[in-house]
Amino acid sequence: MTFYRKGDEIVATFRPEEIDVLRMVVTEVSGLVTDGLRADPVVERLFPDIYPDNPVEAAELRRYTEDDLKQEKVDAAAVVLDTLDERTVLTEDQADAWLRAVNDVRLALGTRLEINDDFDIEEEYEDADDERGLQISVYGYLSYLQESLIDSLRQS
Amino acid sequence: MTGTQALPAEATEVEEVFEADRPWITVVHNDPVNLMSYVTWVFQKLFGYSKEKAEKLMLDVHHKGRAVVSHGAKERMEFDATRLHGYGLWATVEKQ
Repeated sequence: MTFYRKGDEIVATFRPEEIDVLRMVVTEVSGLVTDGLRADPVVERLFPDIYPDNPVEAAELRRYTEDDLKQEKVDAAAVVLDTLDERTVLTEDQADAWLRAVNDVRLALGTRLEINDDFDIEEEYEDADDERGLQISVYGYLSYLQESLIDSLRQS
Repeated sequence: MTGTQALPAEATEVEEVFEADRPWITVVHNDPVNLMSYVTWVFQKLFGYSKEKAEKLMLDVHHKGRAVVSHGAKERMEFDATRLHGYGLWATVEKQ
């Protein structure tokens, strides 16, 4: 998987196991966006308070903005699930949806993995058990995918 | 006399417009997950900033922990912050 530009299109090929993993994590985070509880740190990270020092005003504003924001995130995830294939061909708008959906998954994994500025991905991977190790490798994979998407969008 | 009476009223109005339009800012905060290239891309895409300006703001976020990415009326800043949340950036609004 490396994205490249072909005329107006952004193209990449995926192996079946990459497709399985991407489907799984994008579906999972999309479910959290729809049904996740406010107290979940991932939900908190995906929907930050605009006024952190004023919970009343932040909650008031959230009532007006959150439904649209949720829908945007669910729609972006749906674009990934609809277009993901062994040969994936995207318009620029679809590539933008991919960037947002993949980033939401990175934020979710980053929150679960408690990534901070000192996080050394290779060192952490060495020390991790199976489940954490898998999450770290998916996180690294998605970072690569996102860089690749941005590079291809910048090519003209 | 009418003219002189009108002046302070006008001055007040101008001040009010200024007060309503300028003093709010959208702030993007540093976080350990968002990629530098991605943050730069989002600033260019959402605000139409040049790559140079977007990179400078991204580096401010990275090194100083935060950067002001837009300023204007309160509702406009709330709109900007919400769009940034759509891209997963950590944005808040405050009075300048």
